[in-house]
Amino acid sequence: MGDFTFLVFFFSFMILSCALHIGLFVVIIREKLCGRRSAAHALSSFVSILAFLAQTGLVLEFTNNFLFVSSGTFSLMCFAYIFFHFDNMGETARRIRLLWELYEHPTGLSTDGLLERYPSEEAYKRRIDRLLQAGQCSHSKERLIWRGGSYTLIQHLMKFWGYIVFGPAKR
Amino acid sequence: MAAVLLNIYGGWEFNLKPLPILMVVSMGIIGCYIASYPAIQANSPTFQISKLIAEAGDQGITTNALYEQLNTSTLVADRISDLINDKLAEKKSGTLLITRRGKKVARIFLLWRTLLKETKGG
Repeated sequence: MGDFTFLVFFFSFMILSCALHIGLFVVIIREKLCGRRSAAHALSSFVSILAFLAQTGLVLEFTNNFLFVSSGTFSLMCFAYIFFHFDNMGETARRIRLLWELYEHPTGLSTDGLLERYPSEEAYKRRIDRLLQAGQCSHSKERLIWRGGSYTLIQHLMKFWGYIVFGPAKR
Repeated sequence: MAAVLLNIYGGWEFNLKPLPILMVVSMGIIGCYIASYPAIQANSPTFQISKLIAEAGDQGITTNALYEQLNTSTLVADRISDLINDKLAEKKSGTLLITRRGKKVARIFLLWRTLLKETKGG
């Protein structure tokens, strides 16, 4: 196979898989097919990687194309991670919510006006609800009880990552 | 990493075949770093909440007690400063205004959330 054909296949398969990933995620969320957002992300990224491997298997021989398969799978995993963060920003980021409020008021808002539209209490309430929905904690007799789970691991990973990027001063 | 892969696939010779693919892989790694940055730059209130609930142990914590321990005064206010620092918003005579750059970012997320049939996040 020539270099050009190799690259055309690689980029075509990548674009198709990424499009499938986004499309599937949109359908799952729009039609509320999945209760948890993280599950929708996991499912759509899994299907997109499978689709990439299937396309490769149909057109090329896996054994002779280690570079093709490994780079494609790795790049799709990176894409899934970036896409997850992008969607998560729309869902949870305080800055995006504040920008949205300002966008709706082109004449501007005072700081108090902005905080009135998005108070800290609402931000905390939304987060507690998300923790409950994700099964990380439970509500029993008006008390919140920690159940543990993936968030504990993610928390440690983010702390470690923050330590590497910012050093010990920030943490 | 590129050097190692070039060694494996290109035998240290200038081989054009893997270069565009290596560029995609590198862009993926850079993208992951950029995507992670906002998450680690700002202190996460979710982690703050989970830490306090976990520290309460088996008996748990009431919502009121939790709110008392959380810092409500700076949670959103700090992010307003971030918007100004990042030139996504500007302050003119006490009024916060969205900048052109801010509008572009807001539009992207507005479109995305509309596509998902969802309203404001936060």
